[in-house]
Amino acid sequence: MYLSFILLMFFGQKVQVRLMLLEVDGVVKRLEYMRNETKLLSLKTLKEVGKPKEDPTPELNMMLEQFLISPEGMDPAGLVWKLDHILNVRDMKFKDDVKKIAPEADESQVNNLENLIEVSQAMNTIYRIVRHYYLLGKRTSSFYVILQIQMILPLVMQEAEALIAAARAFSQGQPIGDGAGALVAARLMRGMEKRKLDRDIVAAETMIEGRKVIPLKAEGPGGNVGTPGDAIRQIIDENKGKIAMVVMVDAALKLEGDKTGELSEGIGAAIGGPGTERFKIEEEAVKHKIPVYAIIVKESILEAIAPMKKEISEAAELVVARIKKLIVDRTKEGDIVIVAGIGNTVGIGQ
Amino acid sequence: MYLYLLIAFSIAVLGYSVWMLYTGILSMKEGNMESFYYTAFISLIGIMLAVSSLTQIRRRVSILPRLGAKVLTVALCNKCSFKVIRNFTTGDYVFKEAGKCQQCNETMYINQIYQEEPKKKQD
Repeated sequence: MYLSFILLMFFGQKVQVRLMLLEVDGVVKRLEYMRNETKLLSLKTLKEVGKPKEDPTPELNMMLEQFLISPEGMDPAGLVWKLDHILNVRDMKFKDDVKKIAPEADESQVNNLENLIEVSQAMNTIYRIVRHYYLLGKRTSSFYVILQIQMILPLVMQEAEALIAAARAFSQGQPIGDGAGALVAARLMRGMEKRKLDRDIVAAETMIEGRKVIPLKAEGPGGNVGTPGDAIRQIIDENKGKIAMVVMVDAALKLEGDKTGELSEGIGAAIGGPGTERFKIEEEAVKHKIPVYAIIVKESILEAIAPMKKEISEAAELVVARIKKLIVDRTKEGDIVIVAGIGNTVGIGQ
Repeated sequence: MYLYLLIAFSIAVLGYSVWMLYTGILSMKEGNMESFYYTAFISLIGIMLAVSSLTQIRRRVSILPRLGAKVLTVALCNKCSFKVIRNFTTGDYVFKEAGKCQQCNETMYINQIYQEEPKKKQD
C-alpha cells in the first residue's frame, strides 16, 4: 500500500506525461488525416474544374506552405497602408497562381478554388504547429511544453473540424454561414440594376421609405470577400460625403448558450480580417461624420465556415426588416444610406 | 490505433478500480477500515477518470457524422410562391434561375441553400 503511494509520488508525473503524449499523438494522427483529406479534395477539385495539362501537385504543395510577413510595427505611422499593400500583392499572386494551375476554370470557379486552397493552407498550418509542440514535448519530456498543447486541443480540434466542413462547402460552391451579410445585401439589391465597384464589389440603388439605399456586397457566386472598405470610400466620394448612415451586416461568433441566427445591433464597423478595411471605413466615417451601425447574425465558428444552416438563411429576412426599421428611425426622407453586406459570397449571386 | 489503445487503457483502469473497490469492501468486512478507506478513495478516482475518458472519446467520435450532413436547395416562384425543395447540385447558387414554375410557368429562382439538420433520435 505504501509502496504504490511512493511509486505514484516519484513516477506519477512521468506517467501523466506519457498519457498526455498518447493523447496528443492521437490528435496529431487525426489532424494529419484531415490535412491529407483537404489536400486530396483540393487536388480533385483542381483537376475536375481547372483541367490542368500537368500534375498540379508540386504547385499546390508550394501554395500550402506560402507565408506572409507582416510589416514592421516599430513606427506605427502608415502601418495600415503597408499591410494593405502586402495583402493586395498576396491576393494578386495567389489568384494568378490558382489561374496557372487551373487554366480552364472561370472567374467564380477560380475564386472557389482560392478559398479551398486557403482552407487546405490553414489545415496544414494547424497540423504542423500541433506536431511541432508534440515532437518538442516528446524530445524534452517537459510536462509544461506538453501541457500547453494538451490544454488547447479541444479548441484546435473544433477549428480543424470546421475547416473540413468548409473545404467541402468551397469545393461544391455551397453558401457558408459567413455569407449571412452578403445574403442580406443580395436580397436588398434583388431585381435592381447592379454596377461594379473597385475590387470585386457590386452595388445597386433602391428606395426604402423615401430614402436612397445603396446595398453592396462582394461579387458572387464565387467565393469572394472583396474590399468593402474601398467600395464604401468610393460611394462616399461619389456622393460628396452626404451619406446619412452606413449599416454593416456581418456574421459574428456567438457565445456558448446563444441561439444560432439571433440578431444583435451595435455601433461600429462590423468587418473582420486584419483590420485594413475597418480602418478605411472608420477614417471615412470620422472625416464626414457619418454614423456607422452594425447588425450581426450570431453563429458558432463551425457554422460560420460550414454550409449555411436554415436558421442563418432565414435570419437574412429578419435582418432586412431590422435594417428598414433602423433607416426609418434614424434618417429622414431624401437621405442616402449605404448597407454593406460583409462576408464570403460563395454560393450567393446578386 | 492510439484511440484503441486509449479505450483499452481506460477499460483496464475501470476494471482495476472496480476490483480495488471489491477488495476494499472485503477488507471492511474483515474489520480493516484503514485499508477500505484507502482503496475506496483510489478506486473511486480511477472509476471517475476512466468513465470521463470513455465519455470524451464517445463525444469526439459522434461529431464526425455531423460533418457529412445533406445540403438542400429551395427554388421559389415569386408570382405564386410555389416552392421546390431538392438536393443541392454543384452549380446551384442563391438567385440562380431554376427552371419554370409547374403551376404558373413563371421563372423560378433559387431562394435558399442550407444544410439540413440531422434527424434527432426519437425517445
